[in-house]
Amino acid sequence: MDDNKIVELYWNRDEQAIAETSDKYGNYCFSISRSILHNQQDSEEAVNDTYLATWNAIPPHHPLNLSTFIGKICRRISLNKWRSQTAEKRGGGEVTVSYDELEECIADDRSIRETLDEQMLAETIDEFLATINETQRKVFVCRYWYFDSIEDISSRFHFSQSKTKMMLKRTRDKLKDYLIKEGVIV
Amino acid sequence: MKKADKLVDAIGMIDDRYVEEAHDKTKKKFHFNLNWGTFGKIAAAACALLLVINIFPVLFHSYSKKDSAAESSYYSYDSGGGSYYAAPSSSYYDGAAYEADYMEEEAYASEPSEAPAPSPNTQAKSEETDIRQNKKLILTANMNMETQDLDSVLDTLSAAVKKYGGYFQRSSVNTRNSSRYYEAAIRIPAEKYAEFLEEIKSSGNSTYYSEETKDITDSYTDIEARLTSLKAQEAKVLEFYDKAESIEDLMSVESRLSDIRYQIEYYESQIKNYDLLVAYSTLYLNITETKVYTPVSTNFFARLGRSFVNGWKDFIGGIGDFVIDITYNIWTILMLAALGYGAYRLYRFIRNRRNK
Repeated sequence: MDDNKIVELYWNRDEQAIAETSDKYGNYCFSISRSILHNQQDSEEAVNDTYLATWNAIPPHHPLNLSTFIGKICRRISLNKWRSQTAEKRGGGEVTVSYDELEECIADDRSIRETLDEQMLAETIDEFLATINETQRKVFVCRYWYFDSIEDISSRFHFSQSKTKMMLKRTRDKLKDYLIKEGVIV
Repeated sequence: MKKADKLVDAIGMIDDRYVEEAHDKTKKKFHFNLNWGTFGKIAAAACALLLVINIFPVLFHSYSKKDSAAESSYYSYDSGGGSYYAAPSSSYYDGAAYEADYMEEEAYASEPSEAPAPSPNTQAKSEETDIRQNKKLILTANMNMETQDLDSVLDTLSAAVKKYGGYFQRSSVNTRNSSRYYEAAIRIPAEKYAEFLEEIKSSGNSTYYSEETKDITDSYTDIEARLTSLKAQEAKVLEFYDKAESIEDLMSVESRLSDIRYQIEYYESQIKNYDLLVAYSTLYLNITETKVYTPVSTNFFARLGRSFVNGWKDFIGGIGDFVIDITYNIWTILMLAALGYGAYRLYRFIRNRRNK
């Protein structure tokens, strides 16, 4: 079914919307969730929570791009679940590694400006992503948005793993410089 | 809460198009990232292509050589000379019969000189010589040879051509697969051709020989008859010329005389040309400089081994040619690579400017 029709079903509060979303984006959401949680049951739960969150978000939202809208919800829910699991010494996997890598962007004696909200930070990152080339951007997003493993990224882009790691390292360094320059990291 | 939480959450809120493009499976955009690895791959592909281009003719050549080697196993050489003219068209690939002939000739040659009784072969030879004397035959032959010392063979060849009163119609020396290759068309007086052939074949290893004899007796006789007739006509017209009384008669006779003389000249030049072709046999000679002679053998394993060795030699020769080709084209390759790299850098610069 067309995305607009699915959104229309949500707006009409038709429960068929969830079935259609599950048909069309079930696997997509599950892959995001699985990358973060590394557990079948937890991932399925996160995907179901995603459907519920989407049901609650539309309306009032009217997403132009339903797939990324749902993907973002799924990512956030999965990350929250992962954070709670990490607190209980569970989980791990790619997300932990990605977290550690991103922490490199923030020097030990620095932190992200308290007053800056996530939306503004996201806009700054958008601006940064526009400055790097398409391949670097794709690799970066695969790693830190989708939490894909280095192996998956290498195979997707036909790179060696060392090349992928090096590309990510350079992009992180550039991001760090950019965030310092923009006054995001103080 | 971890330090990077805010960053991770913010990354989760980046522009939809970035999220979409990263996992876009439908958009199969050609990705070309020029780095040393790609450059190496392109260079390797170019080298492979050049190698194939160089090796293919070598392989093809070795296939031809293999064929000729196979043929050479049937190759038999008649040292008698007279039998070259035994038939209007003869070839030495007729197998057993000629092999037998060859053996007989060898046996005959090894007989003591005081043996008076003429062999059937000598009788046949004298008959053939008679036939040759009565007939107008044009002999054309092809011969392939191998030698380990081309210069020495060429010296022998030049001396032999001079000795038998022949001449080189054309000759050239080329280099192929790191070895020299000589080609020539040689004209030798027909009556001395057999001796000449005997002399040059001993200077190297003959791997192929064929000859063709074209019988032009009928056309020659026909031209001779026409010429006789035209000359008779000329004599008659000259008589009329002497007896002509008016200018018109004189003009008419002169015109006819001119036609006849033109035809006489034409046929005479044809006769001369035929005489020259008959008087001089033509040998198309190819000589290859080689390190090891091709042995004549029908044994499968010997041929297999020879093919393997020859193939290896040709392969090495091909690699040598390939390296020479690369060296020859190095400036073009470097210039193209530099241009390509410059274009790529320009493309990246423009793309980055657009993205900004």
